[in-house]
Amino acid sequence: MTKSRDPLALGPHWHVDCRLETELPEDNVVGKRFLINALFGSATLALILFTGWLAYMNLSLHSQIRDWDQRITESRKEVQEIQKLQRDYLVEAKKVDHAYALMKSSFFISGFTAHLGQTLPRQLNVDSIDSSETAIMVRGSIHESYETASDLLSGYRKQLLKEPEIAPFFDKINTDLVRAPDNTISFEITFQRKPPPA
Amino acid sequence: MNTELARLLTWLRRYPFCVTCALVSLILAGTCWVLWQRVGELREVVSSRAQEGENMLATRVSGITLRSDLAYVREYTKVIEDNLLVADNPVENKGYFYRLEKQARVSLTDVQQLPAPPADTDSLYRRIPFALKLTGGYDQLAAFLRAVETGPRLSNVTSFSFRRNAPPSLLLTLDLTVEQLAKP
Repeated sequence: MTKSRDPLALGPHWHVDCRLETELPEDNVVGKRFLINALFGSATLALILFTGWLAYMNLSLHSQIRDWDQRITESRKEVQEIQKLQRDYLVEAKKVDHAYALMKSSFFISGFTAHLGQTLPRQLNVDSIDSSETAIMVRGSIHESYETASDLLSGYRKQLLKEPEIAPFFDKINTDLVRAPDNTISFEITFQRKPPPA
Repeated sequence: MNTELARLLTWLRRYPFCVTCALVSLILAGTCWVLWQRVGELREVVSSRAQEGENMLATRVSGITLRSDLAYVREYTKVIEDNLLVADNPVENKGYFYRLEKQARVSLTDVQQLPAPPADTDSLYRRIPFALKLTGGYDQLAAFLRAVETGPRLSNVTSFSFRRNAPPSLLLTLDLTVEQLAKP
């Protein structure tokens, strides 16, 4: 092996290393002391910011409470007046409700009789209209043959069942024809009332 | 022990910035805790105040419609109360039907004030029944009925009966039972 290829051979600039490394200042680009200071500093800064934010929140909430208190104080008189009006309204509404409860009627009899007068076929002669709590009975006579009278009455019944002024107020509308021994035909239309609402 | 303390003091002297930061952080953490608690309490207060305020605002807004509704209801109850019957005044009570008789041009052959059912003690009103007997044409009787049902006195037709009079009369007879609203 030649001298130049020997790895253990001493170079021309060889010298003894006399540095005391522990006593030397750090020569890192980012020092350990800096990192510790940065860490503590960041944490403290974050806490300062958080405390500031909390203090701001505190002040803001105090301000909101003052604002609401002011609005409530300003509105109190008017609201008390409105509450009194509400009580008055309840008293008045109770009177109306009570009157309605006593006098409620399912429909106007005058409207019913007027409607009957307008729509009744002229061949039907009404002799009587009677009412009870459950029904209204219209009775009369027809001067036609039984078949014609039957067609007339069933046609009128169908018409009544379609009438919006009549049909909604009754459960049933029934018709009946009776031929007497002397061949006179009498009819009966029964309007079965709906039970009053509870 | 002294060695440990000495080492700590050395460390403290070596990192004064860190020590200051740690002390400040400690104080700030305490402050944060107090403020956090306070913010929680204040949020609840704000929430309840806001709720109260919004309720008041809603009440104020409803006040506008309430005033008009109340005026309408008062007008309506005034009409009801101005036209209430007095049970002990049958002459005036029957007179109402005689006035309607003239308007409808029917013949009111009989008016009876029937005994009223006893009213409840807390009842604001009571019903007084009347039995009426009338004669007239169909249209006139229908007009009378309409006048009773839509007149100023609150009325409820409880039963009625139209009957054709015996020939040669073309008139009808109407038997009517009506209830009217009265003072208790």
